[in-house]
Amino acid sequence: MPIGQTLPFTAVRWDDVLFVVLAIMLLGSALLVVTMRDIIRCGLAMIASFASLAGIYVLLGNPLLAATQVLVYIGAISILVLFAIMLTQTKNAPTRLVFQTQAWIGAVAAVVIAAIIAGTVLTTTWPSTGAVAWTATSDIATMLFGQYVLPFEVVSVLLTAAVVGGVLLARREPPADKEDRS
Amino acid sequence: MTLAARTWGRMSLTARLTAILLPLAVLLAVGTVVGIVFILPPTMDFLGANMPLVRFVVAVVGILVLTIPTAFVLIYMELKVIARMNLRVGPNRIGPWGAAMSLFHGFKVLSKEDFAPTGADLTVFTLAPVVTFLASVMTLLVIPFAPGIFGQDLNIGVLYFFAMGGLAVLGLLMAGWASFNKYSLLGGLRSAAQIVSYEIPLTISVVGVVLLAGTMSMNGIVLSQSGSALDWFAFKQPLAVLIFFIAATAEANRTPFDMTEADSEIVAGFATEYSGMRFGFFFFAEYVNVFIISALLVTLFFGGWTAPINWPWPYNLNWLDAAGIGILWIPIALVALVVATDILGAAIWLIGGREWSAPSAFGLGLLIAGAGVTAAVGLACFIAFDWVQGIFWFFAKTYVFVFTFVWMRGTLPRVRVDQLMGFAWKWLLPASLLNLFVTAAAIIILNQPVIPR
Amino acid sequence: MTGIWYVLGLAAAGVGFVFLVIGLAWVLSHRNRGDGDKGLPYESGIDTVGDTWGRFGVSFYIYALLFVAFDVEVVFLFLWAIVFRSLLLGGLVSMGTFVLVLMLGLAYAWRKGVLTWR
Repeated sequence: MPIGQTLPFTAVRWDDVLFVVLAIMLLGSALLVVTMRDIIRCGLAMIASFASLAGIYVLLGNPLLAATQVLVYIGAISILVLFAIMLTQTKNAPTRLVFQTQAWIGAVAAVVIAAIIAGTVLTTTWPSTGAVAWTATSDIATMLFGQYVLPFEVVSVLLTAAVVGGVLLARREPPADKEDRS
Repeated sequence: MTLAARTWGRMSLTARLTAILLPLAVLLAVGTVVGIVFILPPTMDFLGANMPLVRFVVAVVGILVLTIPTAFVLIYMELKVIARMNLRVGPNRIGPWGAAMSLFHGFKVLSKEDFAPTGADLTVFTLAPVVTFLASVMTLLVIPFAPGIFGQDLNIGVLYFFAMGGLAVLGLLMAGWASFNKYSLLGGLRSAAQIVSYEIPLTISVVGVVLLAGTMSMNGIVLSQSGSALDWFAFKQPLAVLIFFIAATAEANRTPFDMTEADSEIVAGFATEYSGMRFGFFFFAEYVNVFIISALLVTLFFGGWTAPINWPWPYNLNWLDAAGIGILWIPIALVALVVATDILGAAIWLIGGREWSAPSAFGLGLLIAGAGVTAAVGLACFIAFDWVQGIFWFFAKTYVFVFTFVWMRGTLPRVRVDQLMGFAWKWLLPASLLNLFVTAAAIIILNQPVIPR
Repeated sequence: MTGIWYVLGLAAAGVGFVFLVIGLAWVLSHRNRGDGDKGLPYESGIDTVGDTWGRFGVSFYIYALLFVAFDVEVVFLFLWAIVFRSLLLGGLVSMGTFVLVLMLGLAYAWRKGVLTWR
């Protein structure tokens, strides 16, 4: 007896089961990010939520985006965040995070945004695709280097601006004592 | 005292053993029969109906299990080869030529105290080796070992490989942070900065290969190099091979880039506070990484599982099947083994005269006949099955590079940390970009058609 | 679609394997938690001074920042490489421009001396 496309005794597809699991992981780790006190653990929980999101991207039919998510967000941006935390954080950090003083404003803003998103989702008439539409990697590439080549070039300017800004901010002052000696 | 206890006390040792073992044996026999009659057929039906599930389980377990002998072989190689290069003997006590040394290293690590310092963040401290080990094992999923033998042929294979391999940095940072030790944190940050810097030239040097192959699938890349050794991308991308080799050495924290373990500067780097099995997994992952980067080098630049010369094999050994033999070659090989042993043993016994007793003569005969039959069966399999050839060539090539990495460790001194970063950004990165654009320009000028797959 | 199952399955099996072995070691190995000094950080035998989780040189941060920029570039490069044979000269020009602009950032960092280890 082969295992079918669905969870036994139900009509739930295995991929949907995986989606639910990943979504719970995503939301759970995202909640941990904002509730935990230890900021380095917050960073690690953020990485877990990035990873779950990558899994959801694959289930939605775009493995390229998932690989990019893991490569860039987990492999690079999270590392940058962890570096920033580790280079500045001291052991005697405040036990109450600073932004928790704005918790009420934050909660109101979150509820409003959630309401707006829910309203948008409910009022939009979604095109029914039936099955998950697979996106071929080469199609994305063709579009990127054909139709959207200008935005692609702008990305390089953005990245360069980020590098230059980071260098400018983090650059040490030129050693003054060396000039004094000369 | 109950009756049972008194009876037990009066029984001899043999009787006690029989009393325990006989029911067990009966139970086992009944269980086997019941199993064969009632459980085996539905199980086989179930497995036969769920071949994708079977393949999934076999692939996942196979990849995990493959790492264990790989690490053991590499640890032994490193001990023995470096010892020979230092004009030492190396391990020679446990097993033939000390070959079981790494196995006992494993048992030693397993039985050591697994200690964490008082100030450590225990959760992160425990998760760090898990992340490091995962980062190396996950990459094995896309490596094709032979035609048809691979974990999964993702069409974004190369990108997947680097995405998963990049997670190693995370493990290092977590270990360095959680250890509550300045050397650990400094070592973690330093090696993270090193790996991050060398990852860029590493990936860009691979883009040249993807340009030539026109696909990111590992299988596709191997297939587009099939033919002879002259079709390997190493000969079209010599600069990329060099850059890849240097950057991969730095990625795997191997000499001359083993800043992580620069024991004269920062004790043992991120692993300073680790002991027991949690340290063991860092060690494990490091050796598996050496294998993986060698395997990737072979897959991308040296033709993967393809043979170095263009030969007509695999022959389809039709004459075996034509004679109606099929699977029967196993008993035939056994019969051949027995017959050859008898003939050889009798010959040795008759010719050798008094000096050879019958058991030693037939023992030698068994040895020779066994070696002969094994060689014959192995050769037949090698000729008949393309996957046997694929595995042979893949592992042969991979271990050549593994040996090279060990060789480098035995030869080269460590580079200075201030030269390390500058080298990646000022030399390797421009060189890899140059290689990339020269390749692209060459493709335009030669206007090669798409390599058929 | 089966790919995701393989990836997640391997990840789960790997995590299970590691915890199994660590658990086995925990059962097999001896433990001695009595000595308070044993839990001190090992810094070559010298008592630890100052904050462990203190401030380190910011030069590490620059490497991570450069890495982010070039990592994004790498993803684009891979995408570009698989369709290059249909782009040819146009592709070379567009990617050349992209890389050139990024190299300006690298050149700036180089010029300011942040690539040199201090």
